[in-house]
Amino acid sequence: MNLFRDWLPAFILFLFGFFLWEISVKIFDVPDWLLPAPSQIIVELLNSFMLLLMHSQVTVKEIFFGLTISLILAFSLSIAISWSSIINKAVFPFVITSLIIPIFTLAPLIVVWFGTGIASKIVVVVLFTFFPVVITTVNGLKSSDKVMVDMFKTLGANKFQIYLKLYIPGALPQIFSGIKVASVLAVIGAVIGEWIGSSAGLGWLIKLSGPQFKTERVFASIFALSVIAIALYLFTILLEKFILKRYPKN
Amino acid sequence: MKNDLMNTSLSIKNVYYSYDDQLVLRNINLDIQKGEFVSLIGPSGSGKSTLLNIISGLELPESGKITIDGQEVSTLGKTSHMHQQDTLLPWRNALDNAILGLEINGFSKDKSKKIAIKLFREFGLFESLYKMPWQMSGGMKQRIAFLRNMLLSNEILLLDEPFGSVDAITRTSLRKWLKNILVDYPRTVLLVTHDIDEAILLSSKIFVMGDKDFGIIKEISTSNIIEKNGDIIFNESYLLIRRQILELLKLGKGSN
Repeated sequence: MNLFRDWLPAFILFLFGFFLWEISVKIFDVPDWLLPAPSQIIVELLNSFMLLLMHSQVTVKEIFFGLTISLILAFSLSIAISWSSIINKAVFPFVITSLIIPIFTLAPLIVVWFGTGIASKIVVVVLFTFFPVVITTVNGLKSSDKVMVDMFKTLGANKFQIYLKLYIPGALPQIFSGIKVASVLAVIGAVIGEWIGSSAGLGWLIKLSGPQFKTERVFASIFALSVIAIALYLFTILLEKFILKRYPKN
Repeated sequence: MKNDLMNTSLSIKNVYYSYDDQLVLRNINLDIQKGEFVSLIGPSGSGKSTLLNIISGLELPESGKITIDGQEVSTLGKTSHMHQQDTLLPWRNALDNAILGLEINGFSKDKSKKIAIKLFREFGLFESLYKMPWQMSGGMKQRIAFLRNMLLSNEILLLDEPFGSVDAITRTSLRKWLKNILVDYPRTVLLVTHDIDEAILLSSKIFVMGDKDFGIIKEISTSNIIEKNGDIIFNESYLLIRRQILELLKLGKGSN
């Protein structure tokens, strides 16, 4: 009931926007190739459902493998950075500065190195999502109160036990902040990877449909991408709620 | 003399400690007998908490020697150290928080819980067994933290202003609770406090610390001023000791 009440205003605005769009296109006689009406996009969604589904599967696969690899690598590096001050001093400045490198510009190189298959898209997704997760996770792991750490030490805990029972559970809110950002960036990364060089996926379909003036297909693909992004984001939020219920910070 | 040495549980000899080239502790010497409850009182910044950190192994002294039962202390986990701040993990209930030390020291979860539940009952905390920290008052949290320390069978118990963050009424009830528990579960206790009444009520001996330039100024015995039920008798000797401590604290701050 609360969920319904919370989302109702946004849903009404969404419907109103669509209605305004539909009417404007009809009144001003806007050509389909320039801006198709929402009703035409819905027709295209239904007509090309199998095509969109097929390309969505490719994109979802790239996102899934890219994000999984990214999270594993990011958590491992974050623990290494917070564990050892030498690793922290050596690696963390590069992690911070890497945020200012436009990863989009690296994509062509990645295609050269990894080919036009799924590997290059996975690498692009990893590059897009890896650094934000590392930064938030490291900050989370370093956020425990000194007095809590002292308490563990006086109980006789070793470093591994402190990580397992204090640092990692305590860092979960920050870890999930990073994962939420990464879940959105993963979709962008997969599309950019497909733009640079591929033969399938929603990004590729958008790239192909634009010059052919199949604008309704571009919109239908964007809609499919939005569904994937929202589903991934909602899954992350549900997972966060489920885990943080067991590990509340306060 | 030989008998004294045999009974000494905690001994601190010529301890010096500096932080950032600033001397924090100067030539600290104190001996605590087995089963004795001793308080350390002094102004803020006199290094009381630092001394507890050194005893528990969190900090290393610049020089000097700390021995427990004649053995030099070099590792963490040999003493139980309770802090003023709330140190319960917010994602664990009272029971799971209490068994943390046992888990860390290799006890199985089931065995730890069995041991802890018995103590919860004896400490009058059984009803809080499955409460989460956010459901507990400040006093209750400190009781659970104390129980966690008691579950480890360390002979030495270091209490760093454990009742500093609770209100006066809770504080009074916690003192009595603590005193009763230590009758059945005797430990050698070193309490750091700012509260003169608390020091007099709980301990048999008080070490008064001055600023870093003074170290420990005096050792005061508090016999004959505590009634059997744990209340202070506000008699002449009590007032004398209280005045003496206040004078020493002023002296230790260099104001006189």
